Amino acid sequence: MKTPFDILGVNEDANDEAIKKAYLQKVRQYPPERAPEQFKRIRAAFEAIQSLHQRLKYQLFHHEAPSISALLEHGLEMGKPQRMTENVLTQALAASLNQ
Amino acid sequence: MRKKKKTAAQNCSVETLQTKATDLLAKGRHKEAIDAYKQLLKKEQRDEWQAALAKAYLLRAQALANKDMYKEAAVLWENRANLCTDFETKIFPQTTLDSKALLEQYIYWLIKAGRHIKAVHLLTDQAEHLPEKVTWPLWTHIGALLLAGEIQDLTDVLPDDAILLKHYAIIEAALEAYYRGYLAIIEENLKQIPFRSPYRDFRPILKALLIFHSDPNGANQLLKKVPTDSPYNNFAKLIQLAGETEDKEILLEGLSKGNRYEQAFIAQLKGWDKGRMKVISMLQTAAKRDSHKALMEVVITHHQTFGENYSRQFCMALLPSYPAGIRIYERTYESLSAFEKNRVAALNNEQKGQLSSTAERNWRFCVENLKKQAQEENTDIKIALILRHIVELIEKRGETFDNFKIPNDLAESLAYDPNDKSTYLKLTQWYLHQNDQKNYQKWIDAAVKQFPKNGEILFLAMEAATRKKAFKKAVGFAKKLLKVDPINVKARQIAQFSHISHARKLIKSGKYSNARLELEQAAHFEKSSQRSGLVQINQGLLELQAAGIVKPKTRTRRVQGQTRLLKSPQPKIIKLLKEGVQLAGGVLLGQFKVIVESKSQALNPADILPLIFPQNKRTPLPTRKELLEWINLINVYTKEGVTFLKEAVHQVKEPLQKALKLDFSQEEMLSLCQCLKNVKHYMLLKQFADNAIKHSPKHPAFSYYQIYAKVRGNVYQLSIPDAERLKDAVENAEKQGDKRTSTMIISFLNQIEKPPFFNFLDGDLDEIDDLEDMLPPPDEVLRTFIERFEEMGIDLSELDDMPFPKPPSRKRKKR
Repeated sequence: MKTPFDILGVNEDANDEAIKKAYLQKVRQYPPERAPEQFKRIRAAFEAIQSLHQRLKYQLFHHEAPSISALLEHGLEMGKPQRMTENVLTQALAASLNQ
Repeated sequence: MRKKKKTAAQNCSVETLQTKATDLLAKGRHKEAIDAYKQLLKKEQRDEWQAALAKAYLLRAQALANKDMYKEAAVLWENRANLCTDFETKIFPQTTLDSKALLEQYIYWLIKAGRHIKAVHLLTDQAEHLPEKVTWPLWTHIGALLLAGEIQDLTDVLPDDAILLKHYAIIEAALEAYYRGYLAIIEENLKQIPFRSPYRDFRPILKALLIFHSDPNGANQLLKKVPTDSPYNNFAKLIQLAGETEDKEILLEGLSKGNRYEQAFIAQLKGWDKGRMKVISMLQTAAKRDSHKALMEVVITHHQTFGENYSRQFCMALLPSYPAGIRIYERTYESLSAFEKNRVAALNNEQKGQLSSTAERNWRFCVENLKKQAQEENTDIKIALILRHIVELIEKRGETFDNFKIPNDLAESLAYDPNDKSTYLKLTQWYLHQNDQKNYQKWIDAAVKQFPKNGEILFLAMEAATRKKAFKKAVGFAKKLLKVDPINVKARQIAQFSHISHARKLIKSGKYSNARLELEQAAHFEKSSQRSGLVQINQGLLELQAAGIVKPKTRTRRVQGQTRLLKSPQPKIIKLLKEGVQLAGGVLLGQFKVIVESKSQALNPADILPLIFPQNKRTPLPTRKELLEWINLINVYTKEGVTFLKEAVHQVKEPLQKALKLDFSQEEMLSLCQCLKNVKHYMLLKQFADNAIKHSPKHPAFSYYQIYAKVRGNVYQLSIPDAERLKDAVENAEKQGDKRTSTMIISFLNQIEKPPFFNFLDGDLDEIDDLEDMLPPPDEVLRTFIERFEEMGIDLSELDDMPFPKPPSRKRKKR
């Protein structure tokens, strides 16, 4: 489970303005008519942290343990793109053919 | 032992052995069936047995292939071919569809078994016998194996101009360019791969790899083009997995399912180095263990990979689920404040579902801790939020109105953060429920001060002022509310009602000109299309009094035959009253409004009604619509706190009785009965319930209303048969799923469980005084008598004006 801050891509100390800006940017990226599920998540995240009261409430009372997914979000970020080698591609292709 | 068995089989008669072989084949025991048919064929060569043996081989081979045992399947196929050569053509003539399908199957097994050369040979040799739709997927598969390096060289097997080899050279060149990063060359090569190529499905894959970093969505769309039955489908899925951005757990799960080659491929695509791969491996282990401790350990060990700040935040967020980790956290990062420790404990208790005092106590400690660090940012709001959270916990325990900490906590929260509307609403609701008018009003005033333009708060203030009969104040709030919400019907109604009520007060004190102004203002709140006639009726009544034509009732009763009007009214006054009645929406509604409004101004309706309604004319039959509007009117007057509705209803009993002839729906009849029950007019209630039962004899609510009217709402007057009828009605209502009726009857019957008469035995003897209060007042007793007489057909209409002896006053004993 990602935090609303992760979903909107803002820091935990972001203010109302930054959060609204990030929300509008995300909505442009995932408009409700094209990506209804993502939009729902984005909207819920915005509603959870849009004001100082909401953010403090979230910080004080949110108690759902962060899942491994949240960790992966940071840990498994894309590294520096590497050029694919023949060996790696052919071995992976062979492995997929033998499944 | 084995030899013995063999001998036994050999000794079996042919018939027995044949039956056994057929049975084994039918039961899918192919291996044993093969042995049995082999035995039979040793005894005698019969075509049918050869055919059955071939079938058994085939089915056994297919069963093995289904278990991915392609090598064994191919060998069995070949055995079948060797053993059953003579019958091959008989069983599967080359021209039949069966043979083509089976040959395709065999070639596929060969490919999967790694016997590629033989597969290619068969494909080229049998090309003319096999349709293209059979050979095409097989060539695609062989092409994929070539690309994967699983087949080294086919130049000896295939002619130089074979498409598989020609296109392979192109795709190889494209791949070479990809490995070297020559993007333009890749595009050029891929353009040379036609639609009809065994490498067709690899084209979108290579294109997707090219844009994997720059356009992940585009890459995903390309990968979706790879057909699900394509040999490249798994590879396409692998790339899709690497591009998974929404749910990283899917990526982690996919990584753990994949082999090392697939993991290495994803790692290279994602640009992960060895260090990152180690973290991933640890995350995989932690995910399998599914423990917070393992997760915290991974984060702490690899805090540099995850980022210092993020790791700290992540561990902090884990603490409510894993409070034992506080020590690890403090060792790694910093000591937690007393507030944080209490917050973690409170959340942990909440997670365990402990809404009771444990979590509440932790939160109260949090508040105390925060009060000590008041200089920190947002401390006030945090305190307020925690206090409100405590109230929510209490409410979740179902103690909303029993717990006296609630108003204190809410009030304290407002001292720290006054800008929370819902807290004001909760507080007013709480005090209203406790019937604490002083505090209720205090918090309404505070809410209005804080939110002077909020519709919800203004509405609440308006209702409170109306309830207190502070009409001027109510009008003020209504006007403010209408500025915020101009179409608020309720605000208009209350504003109008308040002006009228205030006008009544002024009329009583003889301030007629001020009263006129009030009524004019009341008229402003009515839309011209929705005028109710109330203003005009009140204006008429005002003018009658201002002109000295009628006077409010005094304690002295009118002598029989004495003239009711002091002067003859002017026509313009009569016109006003008649206009009001006309706007009221019918004779019944007009009469009723005149009665209620007259009584509200302490006038005798009997003096007013003849001025508007000709006395000799018979009362017309009201319409159905009028009756339904009348119910609404009763509800409005009830909310306004009119106390003499029963008497007013009694005065329009004639048109109401006539209305019994009307054709009401069941729902409308229920509303009528409920309305008459609310105003406690038992005579009419009984008549309407009797009438309703004729139309809906099985509806339990009408039986209830009938009995309720009969016992005049007094449960202690229930006869045993009636009580039995009510019990049956409850059962019927429950059977019919009519919860409203069953609850209504049960709550009536439940009154019998609390006999008030015996309560004093447990308490102070002074409570006997209270018993006296429970008895109906004498005038109500008299009215009951009048109604009873009327029910018996004795007309006592004039009794209302008879001089009754004043009931003896009851002296209360001083406590």
